[in-house]
Amino acid sequence: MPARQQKYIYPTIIAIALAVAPLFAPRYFISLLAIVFSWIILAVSWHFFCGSTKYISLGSAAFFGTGFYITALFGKSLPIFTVILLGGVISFLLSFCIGLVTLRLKGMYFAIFTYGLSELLKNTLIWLETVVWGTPGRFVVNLDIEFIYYIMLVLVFVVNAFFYLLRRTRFGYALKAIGESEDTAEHVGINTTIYKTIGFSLSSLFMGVVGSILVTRWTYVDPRMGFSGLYSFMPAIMTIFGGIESKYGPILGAVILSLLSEILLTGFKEYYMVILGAVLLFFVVLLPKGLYSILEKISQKFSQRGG
Amino acid sequence: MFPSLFFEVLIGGLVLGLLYSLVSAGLNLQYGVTRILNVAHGEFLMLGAYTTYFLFILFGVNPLISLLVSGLVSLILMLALYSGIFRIIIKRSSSIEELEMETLLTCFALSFIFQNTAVILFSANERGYIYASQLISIAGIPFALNRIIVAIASSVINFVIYAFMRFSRVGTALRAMVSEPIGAKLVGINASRMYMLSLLLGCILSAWAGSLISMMFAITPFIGSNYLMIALVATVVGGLGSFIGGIISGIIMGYAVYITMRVISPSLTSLVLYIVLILILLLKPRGLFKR
Amino acid sequence: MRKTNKGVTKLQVAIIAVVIVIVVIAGIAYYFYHLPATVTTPPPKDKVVFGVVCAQTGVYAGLTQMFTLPYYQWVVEEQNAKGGLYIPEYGKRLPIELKIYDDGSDVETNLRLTEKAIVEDKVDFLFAPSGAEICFAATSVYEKYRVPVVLMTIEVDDLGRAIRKGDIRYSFPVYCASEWYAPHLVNFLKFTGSKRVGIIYPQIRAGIDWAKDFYSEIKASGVAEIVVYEAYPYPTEDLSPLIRKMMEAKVDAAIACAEGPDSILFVRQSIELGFYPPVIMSGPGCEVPAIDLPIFGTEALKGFMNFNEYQGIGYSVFRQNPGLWKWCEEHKRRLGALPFTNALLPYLGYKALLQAIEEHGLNREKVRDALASETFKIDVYGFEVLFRFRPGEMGAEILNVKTGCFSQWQGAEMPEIVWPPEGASAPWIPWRPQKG
Repeated sequence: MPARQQKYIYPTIIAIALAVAPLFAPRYFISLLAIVFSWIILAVSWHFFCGSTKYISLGSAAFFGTGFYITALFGKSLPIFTVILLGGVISFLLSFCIGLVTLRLKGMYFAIFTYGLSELLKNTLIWLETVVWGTPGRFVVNLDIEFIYYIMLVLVFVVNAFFYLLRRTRFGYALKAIGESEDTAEHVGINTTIYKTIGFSLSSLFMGVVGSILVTRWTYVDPRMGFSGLYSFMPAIMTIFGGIESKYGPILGAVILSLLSEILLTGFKEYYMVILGAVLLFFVVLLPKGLYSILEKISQKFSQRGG
Repeated sequence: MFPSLFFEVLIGGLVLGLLYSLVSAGLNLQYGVTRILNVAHGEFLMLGAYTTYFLFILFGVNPLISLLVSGLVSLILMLALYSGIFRIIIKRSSSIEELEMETLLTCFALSFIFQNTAVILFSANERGYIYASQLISIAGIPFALNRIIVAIASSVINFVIYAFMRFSRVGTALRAMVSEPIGAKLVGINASRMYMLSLLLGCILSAWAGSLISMMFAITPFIGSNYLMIALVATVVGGLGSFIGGIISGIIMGYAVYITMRVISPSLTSLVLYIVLILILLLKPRGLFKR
Repeated sequence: MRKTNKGVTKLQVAIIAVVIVIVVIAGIAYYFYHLPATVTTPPPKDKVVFGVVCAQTGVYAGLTQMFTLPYYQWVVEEQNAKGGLYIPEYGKRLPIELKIYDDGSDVETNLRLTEKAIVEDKVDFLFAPSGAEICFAATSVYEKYRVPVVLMTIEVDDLGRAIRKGDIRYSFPVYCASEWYAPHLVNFLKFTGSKRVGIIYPQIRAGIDWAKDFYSEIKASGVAEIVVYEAYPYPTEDLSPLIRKMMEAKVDAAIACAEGPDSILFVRQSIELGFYPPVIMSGPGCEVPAIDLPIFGTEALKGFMNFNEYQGIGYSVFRQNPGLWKWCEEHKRRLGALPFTNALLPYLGYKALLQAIEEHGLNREKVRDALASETFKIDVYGFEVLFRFRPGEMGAEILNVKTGCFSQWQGAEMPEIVWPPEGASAPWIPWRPQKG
């Protein structure tokens, strides 16, 4: 079979396996997979913009939280797909406005700003909820775990395909060019502001969608849960761990780290965080190219031996 | 009662502000010289606080004396981190942006490790001790003695550090590293020694701030994050790399926080912090003070 | 050209293989961690299993160690000393086993483990978790699987409403919500002649609910002016700016809707700053002998009140009743200090659950109905207490002992109840600086 077609065999097999999984796998497994999928989407979305343009955003929680809150507020009064769509759209608009304003900042300042912004959003909502409206928490509409699973399954493929294709368009290459050298990109005639802003907003859109679906895991939520710093820095950590240079990096990082966290978080939270920190440290200091680079080297050794 | 409130805010804000200056001056110095934004800075503060706490509870050591120990402990820790980690990254980074990003993530990871190790070792429960809690009256307003001690101690430390930076040879060298990194090396300043020195100095200041804080408030493994945030905002407001800016903006932040807590509403304290950060980054990202 | 293609494909194989292997291993590990019970016929029953999913680690661990778990163990040990719990279906007494799970003070973990306990481990009944937030979230699981649970927690407004509506039928909190206290507070303020009220509250659900109810009730009654009404972030390390604010506003009735460490902080800093309004009260945390006496001693606390003691029994009433006093002494023996004034309620609640099981067997529906409607005669060391649940109302009620709702430290090792008058065990005294 020619190599090109071979490329699609594996994803197809996996897709079919995952699609029928709920029929025979236990509930815990399904909800675990749904969570893994959601982290894959978050990491891949983050990687699309931040990996290409090298603008490290630590504000993903702002957009996850936006989707989260849209469902928390309207999930009971509007049909669920409308709410999910709304979560994505409003995240997009929000990050568009934010992007126009902040994408002038570079490097360190951008990272701090995005983090500060997400914290600002969180604290504003906490203040509004607790002091102004007197509603410290909200009941959320409840969805079946199988429903969440299937949406996530579909999304994970859609998002991956979407960004994969997008990367190969002019738009994608422009973003990559901005990452290599923004000044050069400007000189060549790329309207960096528009490209950056749209890229940023696209990556935030899916974060919002994930947020608006995932919130239904809980029955009673507050802003602290939705805008938790976890959603800001985990996508970054997962991508870096997996390998920021490769398109498989975020998927690898997301799968491994989210599985680890789900297993270890039950009762071992602090140990997990220490291990996570140590792992991150290890990779940043010794393997800045991430896990993927090791795998690449290993497989290259094999192909050299074989071929 | 206007004058009374005025004095209360004046002194209360100063107590906080001087404390914040310690923390943010340290952060600022580290970043200015090495371009490492040490987001684990708060953990050194926490380490200092717990050191003083245990020395007081177990051996009855006066918190002011324990400053020596807490400074030493964080110095040793930073030395280990520098030799083992930071030096490697500094050596191999090909650009400043790369260095900044990698060290940002490194310090991030370190803060996970330290905070959670502290939770494992010390538990997440609050711990506190009572020291100098007698009331003394200043301008007719009661203040706990420990607050006044903290204010005096932190102003002394601030002053000494400022004098050191301004008048000593090493201090001048450090300032040169901040404003003219290339020129400084050209005139023969040993860059790696300066890096190490600034990192050590910064974390000692942070640990001292932590020890002082433990005199006034209860401590948990998470107090580092609060003060880090404030230090970060103060550093950005003052201008990344400006040492004197760090001190002054620390005091400004102290007043901002105290006035919000006392006069406006404590529930707005975090909001005020982040609004200040966002505004400064948007309007004057280089900070209020020139480097 | 072909070589490059092969390299790329082999790499993809490597990656996908790694990912699949990890997923499979993790999935298997996870699966076995949650192994479902065997489907073979269960062995004949030789014990009754009560599942306890509560915080052994994390922020609520202290709460678990101090109150939640010891009370369960107390009730279970006493029952087992009698030979166990009588189960009508088996016609004999079976020992009770406590199966404890650690939820790490995390809501998610608790929900998951509770489901596991019910579905996989097939526990007979459950005891509630620690921490109001977790209890609140867990009620949804109890409802789903129809397991009646007695909770040592407050029937916060939302929960109370849901119970009244009939949405929640299987949760029985023993403590009641702020709306039951607010009218009493107004009457109390009228009695003490307080005119300038200060209310501060933490930005968490418990604090907000209390503050809202107190504020609206006081405002509506017009009995006093609310001169300070402030929220503060939770957790906080310093309440002195707010205390100073209240001093400046000449507050003569200070109410801190604080909980836990905040509550204690409020006491400490009020003493430190010399804040002595005649009426001063705080929320859970400042009325617990086990916690507060070691820190402050009985003298410094004289006059400080707690507003959260519905169905509380005062020190003097306890002392004068041999059976109840024996219970207090047993409490001191087991938990290290005398109880807080309404600590009897959860004890009675758990005993009521056991009695309901002894009467109606392992049928959860019948037990649930019994808890909702019956009045229980519970023997407390020789004294028979009449106790019933009041779901949707005040949670639970003691019918034949003098009870009130505000407690106050008055120099003894346990607070007195000072309001309302018909339930008070001692008259109210103002908060004043103590000598020395």
